[in-house]
Amino acid sequence: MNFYGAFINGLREILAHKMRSLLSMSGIILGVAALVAMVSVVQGMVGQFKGFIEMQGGIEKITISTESLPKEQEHLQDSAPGLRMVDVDAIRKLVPSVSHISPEISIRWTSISRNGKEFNARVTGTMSDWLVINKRSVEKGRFLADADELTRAKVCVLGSLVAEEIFESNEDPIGKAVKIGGEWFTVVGILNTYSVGKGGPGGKDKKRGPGRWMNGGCYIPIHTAMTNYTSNDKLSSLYVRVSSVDQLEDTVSQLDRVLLQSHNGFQDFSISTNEEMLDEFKKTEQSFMISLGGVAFISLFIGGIGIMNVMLAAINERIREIGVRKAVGARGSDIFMQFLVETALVSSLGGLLGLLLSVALVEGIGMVMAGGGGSPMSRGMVGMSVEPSVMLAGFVFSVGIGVISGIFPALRASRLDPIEALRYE
Amino acid sequence: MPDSEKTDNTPVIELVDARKIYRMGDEDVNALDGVSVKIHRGEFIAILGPSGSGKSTMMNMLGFMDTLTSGKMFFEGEDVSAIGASKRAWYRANRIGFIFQAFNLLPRLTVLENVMLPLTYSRVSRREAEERAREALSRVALDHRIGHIPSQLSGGERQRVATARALVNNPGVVLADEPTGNLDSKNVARTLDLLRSLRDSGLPVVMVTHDLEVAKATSRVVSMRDGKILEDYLQ
Repeated sequence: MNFYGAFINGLREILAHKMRSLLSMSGIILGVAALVAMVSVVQGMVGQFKGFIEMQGGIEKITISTESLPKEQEHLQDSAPGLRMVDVDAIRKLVPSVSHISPEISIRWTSISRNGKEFNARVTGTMSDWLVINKRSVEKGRFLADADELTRAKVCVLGSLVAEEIFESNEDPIGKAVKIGGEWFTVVGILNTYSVGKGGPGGKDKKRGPGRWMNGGCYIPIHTAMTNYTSNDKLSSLYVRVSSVDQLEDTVSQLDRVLLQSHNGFQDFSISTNEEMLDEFKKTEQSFMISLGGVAFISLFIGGIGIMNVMLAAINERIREIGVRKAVGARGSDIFMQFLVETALVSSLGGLLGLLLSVALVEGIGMVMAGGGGSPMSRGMVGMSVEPSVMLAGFVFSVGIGVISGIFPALRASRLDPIEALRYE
Repeated sequence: MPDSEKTDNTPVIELVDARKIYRMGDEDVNALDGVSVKIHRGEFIAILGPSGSGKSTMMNMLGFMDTLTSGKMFFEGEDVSAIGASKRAWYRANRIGFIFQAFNLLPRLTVLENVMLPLTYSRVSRREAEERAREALSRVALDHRIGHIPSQLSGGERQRVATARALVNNPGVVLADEPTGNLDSKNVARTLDLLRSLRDSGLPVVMVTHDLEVAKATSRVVSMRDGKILEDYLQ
């Protein structure tokens, strides 16, 4: 009997015992659904996290933040200098692997107004390198320039959401004056809209969540910020970018040494990299994969045993049929092929149903995450989907399980003695 | 033996001092005990005997379902005493037509598919298999029932489907194991007529039976007891 004949026979047997077939494939259905949904969810998380890291400036970015002193230095807190502009100069001079540096003074949410329109924006004093370090670009006009620092110019660059809120749509904001917390500034540039994730409330909507965070900013020269708002040279934080990722580790230790020196030995800062975040995330991803993968593997294994069990029972019912087939000329290999194809068919049908279920599961998980508020990341996962390659892998897996669990029953069927089989009642 | 050397006198099947010993527990049972028999074209033979006489074992030997413990078997002049399982399957698919007492049709296959079954194992193309199955069914006057499944047929019709299945591969011999056992007298007569018509077309028919009346319809009776041939006579 050829493959086609075995296929048609198998299909006929499955249709003749719909309930039994469905029950025998239930393990495979659940196993494949769990496997594919799990891989898709984790892939979605990884994708979102990578996007999140990109949003944070990529792996080349190093964050230096102000910290409280460690326990042994606590009593000297008042003498701790904190991050200052002199640190920027020291890093520029002593750490050559740093290609860009961006000090920041955060002036919190401040009202920006013009012609009676008002918007509460996140105002930050920074320098020209900010654009490169944060991987952003300018849609109109220009970003802050070094000359603005020298002249302490009262110029600003607006996030696209801010520009939309205080300017008319047909108005060109460049060169226009806006009031930032009581002071007049000239708009020199508008940033490109930053969209987070593929869709959903955390994604394209720039008025909420990370969209608002990324597009609701206003950037002014750092020296202007010091003069007009803080009256000292303390920085909120400091960001640098290394020229190549290979130098990340060395740069971190060099930064530590240089800053410790310029802070007179006070450990009042911390240095962190996005790579650390990525490593942490990879560990989480791995533990997810191991635990969920284990569950999926066990259910597939049980599914395979279930199919084997049902096939063995089915063969007992069909001993006479096997005898007849052998009596009219079927060889052991024909019978083997017939039952193997039948088992593979049951499990691949189970696999297909499992794939359908996995798509529904992934949609469901996405909806639960979107509806539940949650973190920007989890909300961004609304866009996750089942990749065709994962589906294909899930399907191949189910066929493989079918073939493996079908070998033993098929072998048993193929070895039946035709005389005995024909006598079987 | 090449076809050119075969003559009409070459038996289709020949058993020479055939023995089959089964081991049952600690005892050896001589199911066939030195049987020698020749079956020629155009013969309609009844193998007669009580149960345990060895007639079923003989049928299994003739039908390539089992192997001899010792002795020789020739099929169409070829020594087939020591062939392997897959060669035996080839003979069953291509040279033997089996008719069983219980019909042994596959319940989920249609009449046509049941008849096609031996051809699917002799690697005949589907189209040719279907054509030959239709021919065989028209020989047993069942061409109007091809789409039915066995449970929709009467006992006599099922036996005719089984007969068509036995003929579809143009066998060298038809072996019928108690073909009338499950039939009423009208269908017994019809089946015997059919088997006789096969014999008349030159095809040897070997029929196992324990019914003397049925045996009377044949041209030769081989009666068996305790694995031996007791009598072998023409009638």
